[in-house]
Amino acid sequence: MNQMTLIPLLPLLGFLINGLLGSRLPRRLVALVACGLPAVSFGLTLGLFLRLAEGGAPFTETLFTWAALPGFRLDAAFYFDQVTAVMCLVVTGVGTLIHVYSTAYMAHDRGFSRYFAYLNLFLFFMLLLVMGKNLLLLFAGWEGVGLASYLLIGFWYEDPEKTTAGMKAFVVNRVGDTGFVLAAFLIWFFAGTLDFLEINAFFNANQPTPAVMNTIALLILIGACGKSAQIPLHVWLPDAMAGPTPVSALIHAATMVTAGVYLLARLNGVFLHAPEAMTIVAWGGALTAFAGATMGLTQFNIKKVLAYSTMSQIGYMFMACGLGAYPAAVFHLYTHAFFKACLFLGAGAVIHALHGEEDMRRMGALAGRIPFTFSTFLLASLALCGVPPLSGFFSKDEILWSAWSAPNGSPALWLVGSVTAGMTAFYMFRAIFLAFFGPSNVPLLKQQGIHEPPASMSVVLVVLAIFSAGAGLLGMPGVLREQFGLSAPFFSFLSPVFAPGATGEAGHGTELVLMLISVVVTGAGILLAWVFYGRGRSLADRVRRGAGPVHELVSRGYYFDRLYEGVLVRGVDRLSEEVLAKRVESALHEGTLVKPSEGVRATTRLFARLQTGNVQAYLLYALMGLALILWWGVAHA
Amino acid sequence: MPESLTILLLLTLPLAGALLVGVLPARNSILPRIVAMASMLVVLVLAAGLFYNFDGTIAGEPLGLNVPWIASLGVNLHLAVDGLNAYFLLLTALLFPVVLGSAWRTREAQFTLYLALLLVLEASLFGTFLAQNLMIFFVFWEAVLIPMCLLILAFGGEQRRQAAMTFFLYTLVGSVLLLAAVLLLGVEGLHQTGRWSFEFGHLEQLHLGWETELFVFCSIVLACAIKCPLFPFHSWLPLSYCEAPFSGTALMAGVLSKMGAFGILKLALPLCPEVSAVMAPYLEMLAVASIVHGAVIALRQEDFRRLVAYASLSHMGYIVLGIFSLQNTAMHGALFQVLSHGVTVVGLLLVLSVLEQRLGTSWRQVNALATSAPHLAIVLMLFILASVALPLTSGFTSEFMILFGAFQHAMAAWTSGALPIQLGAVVVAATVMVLSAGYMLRFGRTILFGESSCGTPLWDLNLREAMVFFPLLLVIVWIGIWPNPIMTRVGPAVSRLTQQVAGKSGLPLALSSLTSPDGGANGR
Repeated sequence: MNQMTLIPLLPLLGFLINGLLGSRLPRRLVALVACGLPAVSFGLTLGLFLRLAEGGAPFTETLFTWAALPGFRLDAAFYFDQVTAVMCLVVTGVGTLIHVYSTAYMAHDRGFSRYFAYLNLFLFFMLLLVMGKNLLLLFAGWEGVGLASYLLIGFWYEDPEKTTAGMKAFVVNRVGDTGFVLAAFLIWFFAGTLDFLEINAFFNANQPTPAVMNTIALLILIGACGKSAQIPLHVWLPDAMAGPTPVSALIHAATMVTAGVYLLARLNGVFLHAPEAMTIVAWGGALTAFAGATMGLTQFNIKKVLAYSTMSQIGYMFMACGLGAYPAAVFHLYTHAFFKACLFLGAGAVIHALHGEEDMRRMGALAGRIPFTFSTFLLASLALCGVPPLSGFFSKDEILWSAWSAPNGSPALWLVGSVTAGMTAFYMFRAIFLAFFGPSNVPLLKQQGIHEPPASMSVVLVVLAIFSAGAGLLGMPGVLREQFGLSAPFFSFLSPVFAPGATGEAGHGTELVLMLISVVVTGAGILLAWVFYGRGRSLADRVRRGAGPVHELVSRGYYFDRLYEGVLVRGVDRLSEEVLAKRVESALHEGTLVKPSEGVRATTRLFARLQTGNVQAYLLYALMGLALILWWGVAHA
Repeated sequence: MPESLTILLLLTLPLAGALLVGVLPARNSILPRIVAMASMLVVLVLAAGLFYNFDGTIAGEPLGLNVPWIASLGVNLHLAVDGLNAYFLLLTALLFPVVLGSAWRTREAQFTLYLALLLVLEASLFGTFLAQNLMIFFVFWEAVLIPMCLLILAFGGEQRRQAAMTFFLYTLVGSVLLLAAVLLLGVEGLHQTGRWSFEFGHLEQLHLGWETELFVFCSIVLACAIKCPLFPFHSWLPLSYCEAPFSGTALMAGVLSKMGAFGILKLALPLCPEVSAVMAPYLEMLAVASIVHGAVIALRQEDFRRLVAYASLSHMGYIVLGIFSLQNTAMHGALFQVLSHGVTVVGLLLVLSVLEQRLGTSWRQVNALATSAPHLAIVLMLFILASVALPLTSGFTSEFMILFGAFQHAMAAWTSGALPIQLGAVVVAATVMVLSAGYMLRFGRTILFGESSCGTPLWDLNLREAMVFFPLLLVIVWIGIWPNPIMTRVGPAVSRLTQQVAGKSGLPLALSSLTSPDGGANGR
């Protein structure tokens, strides 16, 4: 068992310890196990990462043969290349930080050890997902993180609303998983393997037909949409906010929901030969980015704003994948993990300070009361909005630039992305003005309790804020690199994995102009937010009233939920109750039980009637029988 | 210990136990239960040893025990382990002590009749699975019905009479045709070789005419489809599952249903390879209908036992789908599903049985187990997850392999010119993943979560119950994580079976070939 195998196994160990013994251990020890083991995993990951960064070859480790038959062989094997390294660093790094944060956040919860057991279980599955060498192992992690997410969303299981949300997340994810599984079957049919390297190599060398390639790619996309909450399978994510806030930060912002992006990047060999599917990926991402941002504009629950924002940002990443700009997608995934985790944890600190209040209409004027929380939240918001030189600026800009310049990109795509960026700035600063400025709407009862978070939470906020600010410097855009002779270590690190995408003919001048435009758009978004919510809120109310049905449509999430609930769920329920249970079952019961048994009963009655006890009658039957036999004998002579 | 002796012990130990239990006078004493449990445990050890030592080679005739019984009619008491039955033996040997352990303190376990019936049932199941002679197989196949029916009749719920009669008659109907097929095969053998023989090895060599083979196939498959059950022959299922005592339901769902799968594997495919190859796509569709029908109905069941009954229908459909995919991987998946569904459904039912033992009739209203009995809740959650086919549980291994194999086979059929009906069926079966998550999690939510409403405090899992559930969970996790060492044992037998059938007809033909006139002469 080597270093690499230990990375996922340590959190599993933590799960087993806390899951089996946690209720009997002191809380300190539970917390130590829960935070310590992932921290060691992080250290190990860092070691492997450094070896890769020095130019080492990717690591492979085959644990055992899962199943082997003639013509069918699947191994349980790990693979650790540059993409895995980035993902693992994010998962174990941000993961450990959020564990530390949770020790304070969940300190008074009855399910303390259960919480950490689940959280460690999540890390195990997430690491399985990113380290698996083939689709089978990835899928094991993929469904496993779904399980952890289900358990953690419904963590406070006494509340039926929360358990329903967990169930919804799992079932909607299963829809995507069906696509995933079918894609894997199809890949096997053509390539005869589920190993990522072999799959990519196979499809780079020979493509069955465009239709096949597109089908496979779209099936994978369905899977990715489920996990990454992309339209039309996004409906579970807002409800998933029912879970504890650190869970939302870890699972529903930084790591699990980005698994779809990882999957698309991993199977780039399939997508690069499915141009139509690529276009769908790009436009689907753009659509989700845009729609998510619009939904974020109308929410009053601070966590829901962030949830829609996550959906929207992952839309950007999908867009980048669809454009073939995988390094940009992974880069945004990496910066997003920091600032979105920071935002969620900041929101958590606010909620913590207000004893569970999540509605921004009952916040306000918090900037002065909890200035530390406010400053980290502000910094992360600026990073998300893409204000230079914070991390979001670089990563988002890279994607917007690809949208313009990539072969299948277009100004229209870029425009959607830029408008979304403006809306992002608007909804984030709307949240800031609502929660931290203006008049205080906090109920008196809760006024006294407002406090800054304890040390273990603050430290995590600071670390994440620092990374939100600085992480982008690792991936300077091309134009700045050339102007100032800088390097972009992030992109050069990833270069062995992704074949260099074709670059458009648009020059650096354009890039600079676009960059300026996006800064202006962001500034405009912030300014508008100030106009609507910073000065006073009458204008916002008036606009909301004026928009009427449109506002209703957007704030209800475009009625996706109602559509699914009303058509699909109701339809299947009716099919189950009205058609199958009532009609089909009773018809079958009638046809295979009642009717035959009636027939049998009638026959027995007939024979019973023959038994009269009359000797003459019996003699008659005997003679009739004899006659029949004779006749048969004569006839067949 | 020589294999033949072990096999003989598998059969005779439970019978001896049943006799001993029968003559033990003590009612309300623990002694009969100890005797019964001891014989079941010894059988488990023997069966496990048999499985462990079975290396999978299938060179020549399976050895084991072979004693002439009615030599002039070719009926030999021929029992052997042959790869195809290895999982079934293990499952039977495992589930009986588990079920008895769980029923240890119930009312029915105080009766020696109950214990004796369990032991007789176990012996007849071993006979069915071990038989290498068709007549012996049939005798045991029928013998299984009697103790099961009596179990329902003596210890069932309010509608037990109706349930027992329905169960008995329905399955008997299938058996009547099966008997006709058995006799027909014997007569065919007599015609072709000049002597009576019911040995499987000999019967497989016969050259059956198309009509004869079709008749034999249909009778066998009908009998098996009722046992499984397979849509549309499942009407007996909900009533029997709900009215039998929990231990009876567990055995019915866990082991008896597997007889159907076993019959198809052991009789239908090897004896009628040509017809099997032609009929396979249609049976696949029937299997998919079962999968979907069971899953959709399970979605809206309020009664937990009915829910498990329909879920079971759905999961058994996967086994039939796997078998009739006539593809190596799918066949292995089907065999794994035998084990997986066996332990999972028994686990689910026994958890419910624990609740019934704790709460009496009010167990149906139970909720918030996660608060009142956290350990039991965890165990139930694990069974639910296995049932949902989450990776790293046996449910995933088996369903993945079944769907995988069926898909590869259907794609191959499609690309070589057949209509993509099979492919459509497999895709539909794959989407049931969503439904199964729906109904199982809904079930879990009702029973596990929410605020506790029942006033009575609930005892959590005790040591005996924990020991009951542990082996089931072990099987689930083992097959989920590392199936390879298990499947290598049955690999050669499965490969031979798939080649036997797939070799007959490369591709499914059209339905019109069912009435193919070729070679009908032998049948007359």
